[in-house]
Amino acid sequence: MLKYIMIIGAISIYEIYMMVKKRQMKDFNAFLIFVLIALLASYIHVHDPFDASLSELLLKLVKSEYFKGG
Amino acid sequence: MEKGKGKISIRQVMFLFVVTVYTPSVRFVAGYSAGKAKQAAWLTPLVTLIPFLVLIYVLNALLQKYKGLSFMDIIYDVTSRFWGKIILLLYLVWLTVLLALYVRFYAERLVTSIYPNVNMNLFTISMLLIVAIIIRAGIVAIARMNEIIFLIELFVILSLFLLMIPTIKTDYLTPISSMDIVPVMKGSIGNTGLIYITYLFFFSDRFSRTKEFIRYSLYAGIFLWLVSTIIIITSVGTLGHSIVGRSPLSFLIAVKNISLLGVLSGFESILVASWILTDFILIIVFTYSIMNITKSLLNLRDFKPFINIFFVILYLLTWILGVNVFELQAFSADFAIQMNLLMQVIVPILIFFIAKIRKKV
Repeated sequence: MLKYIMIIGAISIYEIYMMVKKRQMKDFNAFLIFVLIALLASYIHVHDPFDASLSELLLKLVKSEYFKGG
Repeated sequence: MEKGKGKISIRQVMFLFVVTVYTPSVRFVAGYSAGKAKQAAWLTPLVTLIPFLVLIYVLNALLQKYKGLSFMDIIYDVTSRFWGKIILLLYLVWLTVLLALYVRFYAERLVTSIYPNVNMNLFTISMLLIVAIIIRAGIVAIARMNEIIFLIELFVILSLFLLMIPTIKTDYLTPISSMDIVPVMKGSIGNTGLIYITYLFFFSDRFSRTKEFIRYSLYAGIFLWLVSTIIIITSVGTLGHSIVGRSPLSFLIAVKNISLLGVLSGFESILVASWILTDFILIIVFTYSIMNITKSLLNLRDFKPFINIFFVILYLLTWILGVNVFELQAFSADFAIQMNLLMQVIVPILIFFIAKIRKKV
């Protein structure tokens, strides 16, 4: 988890610096949403809170034959 | 070639469309069609031409009416800004999941075909880094690059087809009877789910020479019908429908069977090389569409500051998406194709009908 936080942090610092430099701070709030999604995705990837992959969840939703086995 | 600065011609758009469909066709179409339509699988691309023509008619009507506007602006105008934002959010989420699927498949394919025991991260991260750099060059540079990749793809597919002709057994492709009509219709869903032209419309404000849309769409449709038919005929004709229907990368297995004069073999490396190129175009085009949707949805000035962080999300999503390749294949066949049908065929047709009712087209 720490390595992902470091990568996301490094990218965020760079992009915010560039935004300030180019005077594009209007997009800052939207950028924060992306940072939060990235942190959430890293948490899901590392800790697997649903104990299932996204495909598995969606396949269960459509009652796929994948789980029937045989 | 392009009329205005930063614009691409309809011919280039169609090249992008054809190349983005190539990789999923090679990976998916033969197996899906053979599983549903058995020996008549090679007829499924013909049925796909019908929804393709309907979609082309709908998109052309919208494109001619809303000249110089993107699909996002069309959706806003037809449905209202509130519903437009909801539809675009759905497109954004689905396209991101689909892109993650293709990035994962790209890495999985390389590992399972020619680079076993290599960490998949190597392929995933290198591809995402290259795409993150090239996408900043803009759609004109991408479209020009794609023209060369299209020629390579054409050369590869034709060469492989010619080399595979001796291995094709007509017994595997016949008999065809009226009993095959329903299975062929079912099998054509796989092809129809890959008509990615709608996703290219998220940057339709960058299209020039839009009056040529119908003409070049027809060329693209006929080309894709030919390529899909070639892929299915060579796969099913070489291995038989029962093997093709069950195996992942059936076309690759069929290509591995090529032996020229009993001496030369290993032609699969050419196929894999062309896959990497077309995967690159697929990933970059989808990313460009996603970035344009994001820009419109969040009223951004520029999407470039969001590229790097988006690729971090995408990388994580490729791992969150599935545990193994079997799960991804099931996801592709049982969920992704149906969602694609909805998002790229049904939704544009619905928008067209709403526009008709509201007398906007």
